[in-house]
Amino acid sequence: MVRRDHLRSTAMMIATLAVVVGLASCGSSDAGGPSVPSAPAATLPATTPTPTTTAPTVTVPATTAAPETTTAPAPLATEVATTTAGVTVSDAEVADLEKQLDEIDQLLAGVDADLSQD
Amino acid sequence: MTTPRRSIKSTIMLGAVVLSAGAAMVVPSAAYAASNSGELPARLQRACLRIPNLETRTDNVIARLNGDASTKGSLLWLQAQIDEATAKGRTQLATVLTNRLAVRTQTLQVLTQRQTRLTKLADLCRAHGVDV
Repeated sequence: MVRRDHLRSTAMMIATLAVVVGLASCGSSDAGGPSVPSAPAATLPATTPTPTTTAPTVTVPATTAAPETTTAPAPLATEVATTTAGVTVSDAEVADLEKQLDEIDQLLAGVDADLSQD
Repeated sequence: MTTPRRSIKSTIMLGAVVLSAGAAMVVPSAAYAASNSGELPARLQRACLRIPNLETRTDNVIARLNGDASTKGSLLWLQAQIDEATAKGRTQLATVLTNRLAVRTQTLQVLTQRQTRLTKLADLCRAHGVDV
């Protein structure tokens, strides 16, 4: 009888452990937040045709590139936070903003290099 | 028949299950909220604070490209250089400068678009409470 009780108690402990491990793994998979697809590129840089001579080349994004959007399309699931103005901002929005600023920064660096050749 | 000892044991185990399940659900949620509340606004603010300098640089380059023939690097200055090279019969130099002018003309167009975009991005930042 005592042996039977002992077996039952052991089985219950194993079941408990399984439930805890299962729940913990479910919870931790959410810890990093849902994955966010990166925002689509606002512009598609294109390289201007290379001159036949030794003229300097500057990478200029195509003028007919993507529309002048300042906000990324809302992703299905995203990390969000509320700013000091009480406006919700998403990870995709911030990433898009950073990307656009990087692109402008690179463009200006290219222009500076071009102008320095005069 | 259930002895009091077994009953206590079962109660303790049930309590452990409930506590563990609660912790498993609450701890990741708390971590998610913490990463959420601090990181994004800081990233937004950092990005927005880059805008004024980019606007200044863009304005300066546009002004330079639009400058008169005496402004080194302007489109008119470059055209004058082309004319001079052509007049002197330096055809290869004239070709190089002509190509450079074509690129620079296009650059001016792109920069003007980016200038408009920067204004919109600054508005977006202000709407989010970041003073730029």
